[in-house]
Amino acid sequence: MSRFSKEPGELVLLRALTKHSQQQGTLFFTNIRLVWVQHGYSEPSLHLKISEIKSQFISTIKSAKALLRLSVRDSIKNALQDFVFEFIHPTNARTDLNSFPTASGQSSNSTSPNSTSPTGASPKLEGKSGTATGKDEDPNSDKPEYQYLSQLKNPSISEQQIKQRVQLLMSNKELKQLYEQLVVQDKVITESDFWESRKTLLKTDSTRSERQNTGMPSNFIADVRPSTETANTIKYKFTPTVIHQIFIQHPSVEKAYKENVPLKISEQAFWRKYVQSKYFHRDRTNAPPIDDDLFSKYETDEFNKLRILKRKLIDISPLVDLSSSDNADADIHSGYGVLLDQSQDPYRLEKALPLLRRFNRHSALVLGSKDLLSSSSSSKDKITQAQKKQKEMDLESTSPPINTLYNGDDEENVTTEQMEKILENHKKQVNQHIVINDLEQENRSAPTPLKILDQKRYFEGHSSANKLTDEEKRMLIDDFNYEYTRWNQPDLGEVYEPYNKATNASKGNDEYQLPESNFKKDLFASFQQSNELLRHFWSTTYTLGRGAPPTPQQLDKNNKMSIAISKQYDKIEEKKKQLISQNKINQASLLTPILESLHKAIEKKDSQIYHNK
Amino acid sequence: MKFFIDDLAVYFPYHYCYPEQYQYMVSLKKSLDEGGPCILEMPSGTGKTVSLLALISSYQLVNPTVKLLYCSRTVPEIEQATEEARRVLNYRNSQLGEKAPKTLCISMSSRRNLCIHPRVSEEREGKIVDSLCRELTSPWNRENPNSERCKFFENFEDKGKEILLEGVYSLEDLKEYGLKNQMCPYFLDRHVLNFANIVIFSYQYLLDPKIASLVSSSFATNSIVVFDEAHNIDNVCINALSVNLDNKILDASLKNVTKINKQIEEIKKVDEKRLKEEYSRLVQGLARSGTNRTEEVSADPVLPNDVIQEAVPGNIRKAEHFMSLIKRVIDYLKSRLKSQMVISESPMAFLQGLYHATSITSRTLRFCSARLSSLLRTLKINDINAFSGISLIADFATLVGTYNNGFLIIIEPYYQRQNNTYDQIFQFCCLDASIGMKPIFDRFRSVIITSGTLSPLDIYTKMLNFRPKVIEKLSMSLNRNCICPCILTRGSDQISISTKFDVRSDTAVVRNYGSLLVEVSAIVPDGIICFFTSYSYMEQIVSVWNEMGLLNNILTNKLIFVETSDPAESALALQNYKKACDSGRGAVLLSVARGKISEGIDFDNQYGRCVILYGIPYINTESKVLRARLEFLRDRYQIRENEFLTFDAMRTASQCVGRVIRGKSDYGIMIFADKRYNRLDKRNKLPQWILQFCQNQHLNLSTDMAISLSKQFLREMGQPFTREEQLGKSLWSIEHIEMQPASKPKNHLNGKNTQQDIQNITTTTTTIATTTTSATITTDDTDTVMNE
Repeated sequence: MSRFSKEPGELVLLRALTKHSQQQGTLFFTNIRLVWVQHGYSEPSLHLKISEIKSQFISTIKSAKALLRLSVRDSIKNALQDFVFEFIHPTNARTDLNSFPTASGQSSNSTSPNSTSPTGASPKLEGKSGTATGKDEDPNSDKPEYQYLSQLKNPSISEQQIKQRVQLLMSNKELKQLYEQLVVQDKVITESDFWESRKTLLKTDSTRSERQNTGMPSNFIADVRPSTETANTIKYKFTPTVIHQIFIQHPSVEKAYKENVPLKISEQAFWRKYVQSKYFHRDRTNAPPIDDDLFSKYETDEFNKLRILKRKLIDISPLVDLSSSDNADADIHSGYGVLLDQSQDPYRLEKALPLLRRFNRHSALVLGSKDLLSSSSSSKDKITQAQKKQKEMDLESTSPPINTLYNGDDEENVTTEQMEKILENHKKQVNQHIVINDLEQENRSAPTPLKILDQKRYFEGHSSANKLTDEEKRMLIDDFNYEYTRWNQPDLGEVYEPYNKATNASKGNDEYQLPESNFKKDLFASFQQSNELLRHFWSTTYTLGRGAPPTPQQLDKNNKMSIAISKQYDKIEEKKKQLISQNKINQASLLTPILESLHKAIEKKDSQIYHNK
Repeated sequence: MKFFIDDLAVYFPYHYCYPEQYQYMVSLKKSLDEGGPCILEMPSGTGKTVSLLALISSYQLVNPTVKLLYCSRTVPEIEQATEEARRVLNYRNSQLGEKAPKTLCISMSSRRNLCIHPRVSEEREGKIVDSLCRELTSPWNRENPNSERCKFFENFEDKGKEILLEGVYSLEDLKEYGLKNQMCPYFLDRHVLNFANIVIFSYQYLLDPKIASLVSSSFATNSIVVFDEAHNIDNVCINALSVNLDNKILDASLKNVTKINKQIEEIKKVDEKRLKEEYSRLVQGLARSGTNRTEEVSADPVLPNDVIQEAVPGNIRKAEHFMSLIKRVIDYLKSRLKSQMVISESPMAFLQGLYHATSITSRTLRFCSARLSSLLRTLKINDINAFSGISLIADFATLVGTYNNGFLIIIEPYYQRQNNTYDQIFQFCCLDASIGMKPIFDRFRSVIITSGTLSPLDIYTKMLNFRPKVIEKLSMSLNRNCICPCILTRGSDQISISTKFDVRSDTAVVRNYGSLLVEVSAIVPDGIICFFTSYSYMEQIVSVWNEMGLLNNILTNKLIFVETSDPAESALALQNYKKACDSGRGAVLLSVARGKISEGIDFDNQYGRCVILYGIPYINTESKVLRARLEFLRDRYQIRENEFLTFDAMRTASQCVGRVIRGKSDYGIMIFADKRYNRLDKRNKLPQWILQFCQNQHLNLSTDMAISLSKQFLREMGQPFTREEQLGKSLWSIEHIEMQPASKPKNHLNGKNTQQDIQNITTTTTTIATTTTSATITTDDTDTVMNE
């Protein structure tokens, strides 16, 4: 193995035979950096600071080569560069490959704590559509995160924040333009500065996006239908979302999957069996059930759960409790009453019952509310949950605790207090329902009383000379009264005239109306850019006697800004001259205010330089 | 507000009132004054119950001995009515201050809904609860010191009889009271029923003889009886007096007989005295003597006047003889059920046949149910539910021995779900609804039949065989058209759609129905309810829709819930449906037109923005029972068959459709999806308050036309709707009421225009000027007043 000159204190942790840009060499991983030394050379050709590694990718297990790709942020050029290493050791290539990112991830400092190794493994469903399944657990999840924090100038930003920024940029076109221009192209303003002043934007965005999760979509994704049917084969497509939903709907399938795959049967075989099984067809009404011992083993007591139907529902809103009516349970075969119509017999539904039940269950699932068939296990949990909910409920007294479905099946009986609370709640519900709101008198809420803190301000004048006698006051009031009752609304037509004229005037080439054009876009863009620059400039400008003296960074920034401003000034000046030469005087004049503000800034800078001299 | 109707002060718990409510109260008062039966039809969702309760409770102030017996169909309705009564009474009593009388308003239901015993109350089925209760509370059980007792019942027995409740007690309140005082709510309820001023319970408590004799026999004749939602009352009457038997029941009763015989043998060895005592009791008097009412679980199945008031005949006094008689009856029934033919015969003919085979006379049969109940008591049998078979046979025997006219026996094949075959069933059908109603009309002074859908009225008067003294049909007074009925006759492909038997399986029709639902679910917010004509039809069509993938299309817009045969499951589905409508996801509810959901569940505001009626909900005309009934109606009352069938279908349809409107700011789309609705004879049977919205543009629509009409309607309805617009026209305040002739505020002098009057007029003027802000009051009276 080639050696290379190490820095003091550097220890080689890992090494591997690799190829980089068609050259053979060795990749060394030390505690300070990542070094690649080409064969035959003594000095490293490449060395990368670990802190600069933004992301790494490993190729899949199945692919022919063992590749490691590192994206590194170059602090000088501020760009991302990719390095690809191919591990070529005859036997250990893979293990080496795997060990590198692990190690580098562990010691990488946190420019981005979450940015390491999405391993990019393709889903195990070979040949089937590949959205990433649940990722393997990130092995680097417990890195010493803030080890090198003190060395950093820039505070860390989390992946989430990055996402936010990207999202914001995508949604706001103007912002994006500004960003592109100033930060990416001209490199005038650094990224963090840019976002610094927009903290509020980010904050509102984040709170907004965190609060609401989009719910589960209502429709049956799990209802997989064959995508292609040729003469001999039927193809089914199972995406991870579909699989997820199947697991939710049929917990026994989930169990079977967990236990059998991938040890006993392969994934493909499993799904093939599933498609053939009665489960798949169970929800349709007319397919022959094939004897399948794979699933029947795990068939949980889904049908046993139906025994819950035999118990009384306690916690159900009285407005919908159909089971309480005196003739509700009258089994048609109980004998009393006349059987008028056979087609009205609800037991006619028997064949389609599973299908119909499936809808009820699915809908209950989507809503997140309890359903008869899901209210089994851990009744204790439920009761404590219920008690918690009851307490919450006491504070807000409207909706019933739907999620705690009491029925007589729970081992612990409903206590008297709980029962009383339930009854109380029912009463409230019925009460709310019966009130006919149309007939109620409108609630004239009591007007908030006026709170005058300092009466003096309102009631006592500055000079007492203006005090009126009672007589005078009365006369004054009468005068006003007279005036008001006789006040005719004056003809405001005259006042409105010019406005009406203006709006009715042709909208075409009006100078006051700036139609959409390139000029307009341009104008707005330059305006925003200038503003941005000015903002940064002024925030870092130091005037003697006001505020704290600037830090070196601020000075630095200030200088940068002033340079940029001068450049901007020149640019806009150019444009203006151009416009004037084209005889577009008015448009040119629109640029004046921008120029003026820029000019002010330049002046300020010059005066400072002068002072400092 | 308080106003007068012809000298009666009425306390109405709201500040405003609909004109229909006012009219309703006026007619109601008239009927109460005159007495006798009365029919009132008022549109659904316009506050019928509160008007009723307000007027009657005010009437009770003047006539304190009059009791109100308010009957409704389902327990949710009972609970709602009780809460409304609470509001009314609270308001009334607050207005009266100290002069308010002590009133008790109580609701009543079965043990299943009132029991608070921890073990017993868990059971879902009423029969099981009844028999468990009996186990704990029967007299012989309590004599035994080792047996388990119900502490709630014991407490009631000790202290309950002295309790005088006051106020309003719903079922929930009774349970709470019971929990607090550790007393049985059910028995307390039954005890206090006799002292209550207002009683709210279900129809069975007045119309079903088995229960009514136990509970309602002590009500005074000057009571006011109100049947709310009474459009199906004829079916209730018929079912109360009918019985059906099949082989399963007969087998069960044979087993019961063996069991009882065994018990008799055992008792003979142990405690012969009991049997002898029973025997002597029967010799002396009636079968049911020596018991008090609370012990009985059910009474004779015949009307009170028809209960045979004689001593039990000798041939069944002895327990063994009675059992053998029952066995012979059962055997005869079994033999009748063997034949595979469809037979219909009158009870008389049946009794003849029975006599020939078994020498049992009809007179003997009449004692059966009382005798059996006495025997079960003597044998100290607790588990009544296990002997339901033989109780049914005994009830049947009593019925067949008592009634002849208006009843029919039909033996026909019936689908048995257990073994998927057709088995014979024996039906003892009552054909005449007036039989059940007659004792009510005879006994009580005022009987009020009210509902939102009682059209056409004359069929009711004929069927129930009564002549109402007051008839009133009210329509909705409106400011904006809050109902958009759509008579849909064809799909977008112009193929006409119907659920008529021959076309209902046609794929094009099914697809059209499906795409109707998909499109409606895309444009209507919140909740949609679909009613199918029968369970079998719903099953059929939903399966086909599933195959077509239409259901998944609907699911992308809204969630789907289905009513199934199990009431608990349907109740849960309903609860989730309401939750979905509240949360914004929206939902579609599939149910059946004669199912449990269409009776008594309100879908107001966001819970029901659209109702789709798939087809016309006719009863299956192949049913023999129906045929018999139609024939009977034709012979007795000259009601043509087609007319009755249409009437029955349309009342079901109206009832389904009327679920979605509650109040005038509520709005809804009603889609009648069948080409037959377009015909005048069907449409005419819809109640007036629906027809008043049916203009030409609502008729004969195709799917796309209906969708565009609905979109427009929804947009209109989304506009703000202020109170001021309604005042005077569809909403009345106290001023408007006092301008009505019946309610002119009276002065104490002779009714001439006195100074007082003029002052009254001026004060009302100023109040109008300050309370109404818009000048759009259109009644003539106020015009002169406003132009001051």
